[in-house]
Amino acid sequence: MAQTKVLLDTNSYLRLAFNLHPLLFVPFGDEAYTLYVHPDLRAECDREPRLRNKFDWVRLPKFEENRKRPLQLSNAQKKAIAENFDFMWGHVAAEGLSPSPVDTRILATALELEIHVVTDDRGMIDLAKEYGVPTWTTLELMKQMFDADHLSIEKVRMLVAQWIYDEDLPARELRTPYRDFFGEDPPTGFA
Amino acid sequence: MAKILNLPLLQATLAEKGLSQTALSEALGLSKAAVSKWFKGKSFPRPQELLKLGKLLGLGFKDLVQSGPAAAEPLVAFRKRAGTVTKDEHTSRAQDMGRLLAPVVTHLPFDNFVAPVRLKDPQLDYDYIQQLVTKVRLELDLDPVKPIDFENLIGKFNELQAVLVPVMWGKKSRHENALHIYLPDSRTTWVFLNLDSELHDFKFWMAHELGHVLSVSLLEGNEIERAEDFADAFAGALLFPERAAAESLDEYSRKKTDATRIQAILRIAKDYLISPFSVYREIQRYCEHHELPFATVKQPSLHAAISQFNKRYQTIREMLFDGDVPSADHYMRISNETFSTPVFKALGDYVKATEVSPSVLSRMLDVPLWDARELKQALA
Repeated sequence: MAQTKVLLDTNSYLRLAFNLHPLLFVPFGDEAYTLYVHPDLRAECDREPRLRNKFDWVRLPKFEENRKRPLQLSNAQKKAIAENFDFMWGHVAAEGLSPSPVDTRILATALELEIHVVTDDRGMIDLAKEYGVPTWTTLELMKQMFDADHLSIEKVRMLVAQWIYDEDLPARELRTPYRDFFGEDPPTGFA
Repeated sequence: MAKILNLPLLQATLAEKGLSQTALSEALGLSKAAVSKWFKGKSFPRPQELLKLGKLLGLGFKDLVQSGPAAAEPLVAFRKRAGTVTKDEHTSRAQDMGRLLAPVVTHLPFDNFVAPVRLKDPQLDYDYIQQLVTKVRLELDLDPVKPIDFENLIGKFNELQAVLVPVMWGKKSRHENALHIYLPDSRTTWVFLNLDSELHDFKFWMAHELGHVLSVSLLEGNEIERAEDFADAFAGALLFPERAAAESLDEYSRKKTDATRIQAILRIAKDYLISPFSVYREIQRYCEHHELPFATVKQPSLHAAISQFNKRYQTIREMLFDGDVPSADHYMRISNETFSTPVFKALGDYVKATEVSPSVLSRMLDVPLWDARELKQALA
């Protein structure tokens, strides 16, 4: 069955990849949703940290290997993505919006491929809306995975506990969506 | 920012393609009235509509859109690494950093009533520069000829309301070792200093950046090369003023070979804790100005000696963090103690007041996302 590609932004990738390995290129559900990262994210992962940090795992071979497979794009698609980016970045710069060039390129790619982007970033979600790019939050993606039996409730709890431990909650108010999605109260420490 | 359509180009392109407004509205799936309003300047296309319009007519964003009056663009100056060329991408990146820093300005502890001192008319003339550094040294309560130390320079930056931003940009991977960003709207200056630098070079770059802060009128006038030349001349003279050059010339002139002349330069540089190249260059400038003979040394020999000289010292980062990789808290604490900079306090207030994302912090300081995430947590 043909894949339905889904693009992850950097922060969503970081929230999931360590505890859900391999995260990318594993189809799930009736739609065969398959997670990808943008090549710019791979370049970002190659930047060496200068401060002690929690993300050393990003450069471990098994994660590097999982990020390696490129998003296959035809020349026509690359040209269309470049045109999308030109307008989207022009809009971001003119309005002084927060998305970065990498964020904008992810959305420009998703617009051309007509696929979802997974992001918790308010600025990216707003920009996606302006251009009609469908988005999921990380929690919404987890709900999709959970419904497709691709993610167990134990894993859901583990992921969320990790966010709490890392002080890296994807939004200020998560209790309600968590309860709606998974039918239970979130782990202690959730907003 | 106010945006208007480039109507002359739009109309010319429609005519060229044989399209009427009606055909255009049909192709875009919009009402004729909506498109008509664009052409009358009564409305502006929504982002998605503008993109479709551009694709349909084969025009880019900058072709289609004319920006109205905007906030003044950040002015940037680089202390480049040797052998690098400044490209548009470097300037764009630095301006992007400046735009992101603009909302942090309100969190700075600076006087809201009095603008910092700036030079009226910065000159490159030797006597002007020497008089200026004498004045600066007097203001710093410094002997006119004694070595200047980091605390003196840091104090002057703070007095001039320039924000020092110590960063760790690595030793080899970048185009610049220091970056100067001036925000005209708020008249604030941000000076990024790469801690992955040799001790003596770092001191020169600090003095160089101080020259930029004083001569911001050159940047405002888009005299970029003149601004760089002024900052270089100011830095050399501040660290090693005319009288020091005159006193050192006596020793230098007595040496008969390149090797002994270089030895003399290295010794003086060690005493002054400045780059040997600054010593050599300032003695040379003194001789040129006073029309005195000056025995040059072979540049490859001088650079090789300086390279060896630098190896005897740790980088600033190694000295500050004992060679360790610091945590975000440790990095900010040591930076605050060493540079008396308001930057982290201001960033902390900004982070607490907004939902700024790590990716924005990453762009603002041009640091890896991992570092930005750690910083955001520490700041919050």
